[in-house]
Amino acid sequence: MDDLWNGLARGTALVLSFDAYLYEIVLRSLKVTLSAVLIAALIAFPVGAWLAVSRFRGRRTAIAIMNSLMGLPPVTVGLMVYILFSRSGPFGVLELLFTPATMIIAQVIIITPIMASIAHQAIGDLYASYRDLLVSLTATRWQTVMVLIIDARRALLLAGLAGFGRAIGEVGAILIVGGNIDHYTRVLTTAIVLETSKGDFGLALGLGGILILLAVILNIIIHHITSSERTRTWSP
Amino acid sequence: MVTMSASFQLEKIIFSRDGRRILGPITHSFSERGFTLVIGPNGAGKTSLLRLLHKLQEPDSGYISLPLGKNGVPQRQSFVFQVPILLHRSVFENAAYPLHLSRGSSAQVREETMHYLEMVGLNDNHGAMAEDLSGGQKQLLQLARALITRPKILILDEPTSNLDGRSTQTIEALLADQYRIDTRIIMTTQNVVQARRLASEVIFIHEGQIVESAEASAFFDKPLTPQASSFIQDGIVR
Amino acid sequence: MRYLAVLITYLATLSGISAGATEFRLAVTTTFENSGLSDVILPQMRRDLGITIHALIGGTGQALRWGEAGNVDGLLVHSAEAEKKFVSSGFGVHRRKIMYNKFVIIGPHGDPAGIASVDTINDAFRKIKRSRSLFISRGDDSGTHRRELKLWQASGYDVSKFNPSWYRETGTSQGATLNTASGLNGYALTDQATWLNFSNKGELIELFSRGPLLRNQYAFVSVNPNRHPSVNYADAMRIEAWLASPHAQKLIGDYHINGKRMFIPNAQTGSSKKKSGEVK
Repeated sequence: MDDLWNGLARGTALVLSFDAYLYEIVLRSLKVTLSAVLIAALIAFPVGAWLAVSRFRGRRTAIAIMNSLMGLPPVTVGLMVYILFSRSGPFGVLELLFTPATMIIAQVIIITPIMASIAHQAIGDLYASYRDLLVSLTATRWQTVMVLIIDARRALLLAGLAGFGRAIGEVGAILIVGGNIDHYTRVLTTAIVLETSKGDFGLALGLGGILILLAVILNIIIHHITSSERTRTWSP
Repeated sequence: MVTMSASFQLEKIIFSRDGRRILGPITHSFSERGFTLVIGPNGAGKTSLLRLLHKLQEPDSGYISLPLGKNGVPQRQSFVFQVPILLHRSVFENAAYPLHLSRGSSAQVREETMHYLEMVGLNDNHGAMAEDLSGGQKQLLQLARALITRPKILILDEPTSNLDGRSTQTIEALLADQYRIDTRIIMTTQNVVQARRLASEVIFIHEGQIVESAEASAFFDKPLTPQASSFIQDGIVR
Repeated sequence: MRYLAVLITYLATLSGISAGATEFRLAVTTTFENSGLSDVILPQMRRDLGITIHALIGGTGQALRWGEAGNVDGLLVHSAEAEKKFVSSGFGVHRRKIMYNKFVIIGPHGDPAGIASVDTINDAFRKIKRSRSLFISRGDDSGTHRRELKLWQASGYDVSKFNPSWYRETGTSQGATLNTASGLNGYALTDQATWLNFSNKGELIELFSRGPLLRNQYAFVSVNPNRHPSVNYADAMRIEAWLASPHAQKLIGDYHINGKRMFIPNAQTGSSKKKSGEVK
């Protein structure tokens, strides 16, 4: 128990004193993960929307594959990205290994399936209620996708938050492809691993506390969005 | 298959859903002008007929030809759903949507939208969210949206069946206006009295078949079939 | 396709790939990092040489594999046999001794195996084995792990026959292994610097540290640019020279933990001039 209290005390002290090391790491974590969520959204939302409104042979298979990709173990993704971007690998010439770039790439691969899945579900539901109207107005495929994405933006925001939550706490993949380099690829989770291995639980707990704080803030946002959604549907 | 015609032509139409036959075989030629009321008991197939006319559904077999304009292109049609389908947006954005699709946004579009909202009495709350409107208001919004593209043909599926008297009156007045400027109107209703008020022509459907179709006064004064008689009298078919 | 190019450029700028200072990827062992010496040496190295040095922390085995793939430009590791093989196989250009310290055996302060009073490390290992006292091994192919295996072998044992009821392999870094030893109150082999810098000792104390077999030699190995042309060999030579320079050697020698000197610098000057030019 001593460890826990000492650690929390030390962690709080670091946060309040605006410890430079701490904030550098937090900022980098946010930069990497927010970039990943943005890029993943640019892929996941159109794909999810397209799967919701298209009818083609193999559509069910495509949806099944997209859903099962959610089960990709993050650390395996990390290993595969490492092999691809290693100097001995096919993309080695890009010199992106052990940089934030490959960390973002790995996180994008990890979170795109779940974001696409949530988007597909939400957009599919909305499409079911809009369909007759859109057919009646002879909207094009593109116009249909646009109106669905725009009107389903709340659900898509939640998808983004889900992706963020999964990415910010991931450690295996980004440790492998990032190398946990000080002042360069070290983020919240990988720093926790390092500080723990030094037996320095104070800093590790401080970082862990921030991670928890981010998760809590996330959940508050989600709660706020979904509850305001609920009050709407009660209007007569 | 599209053929040259001035109005809807149905040729041996059969329409089923989930294995059950809903409509047909129906062969019918719609008149070029008029305010047609399609009436009949529940489940007769009225809604399906309208949806087929608007190409929301395809028939299993048979042909439907759409009315063509002078340039040989299908005429503009608008559809009003029984349960309003509105976007999760403001009243204004809902009404403007059809113009937005074809022309984008502009001052011109805004002006036209406000004009039609004024026509249905919704210009004051054009900024409100559509889902916050009352039932009657939602239907008026649908009507504004349907009219904003200046359709030659207006198809309405039981537009007032869930509304109060006041809203019904407003809508009927607007439809009468449209009829006056030569818009072809095809509408369904359960309400025989409403049909009497509005129709220039009546199509009576029972169990998926057009049992009788005639000019309005002829139909109501002297129905030719016992089913029609029964329906006019009591609203059901014995 | 243009979308992809824009994406890669964005990611590249995010990586802060600057046109100014050159970049060098240095693999350092966990013991080097955990000892705290890296916090003294690396900033000085960066400042004096003007190179952007990215330090990747891993076990010796992992560092060697990074080097074989050409993903790092230089290694600072502590496993002489493996380093020499690395160079002779053509993966590395040159091996340069930099400094040494020693390995120690840490264990529960009650010393159930009674190793504190023995003469040699082999005796210590024998006593641990015979008493089946809990022993936590690195198990991660690191320099420390390799030394541990050699010591067991020299004491007459085959580690693969050890029973996991008392011999536990963690497969983790030095610090993490010490955490486990601390939590389970067991024996472990560690380098002295990491031990002294470790904050979670629990009930463990240093029990045995004598003899030449416990010497822990660190060396710098440059990676062969002929295998992977993008390897930064030019800076590797500068870093090697810097580490062997009197300035750096003094820094290393002056590094203390609780008044105790941690590393003994032993880079040899002069002989390097002959060898560093050779690139096979």
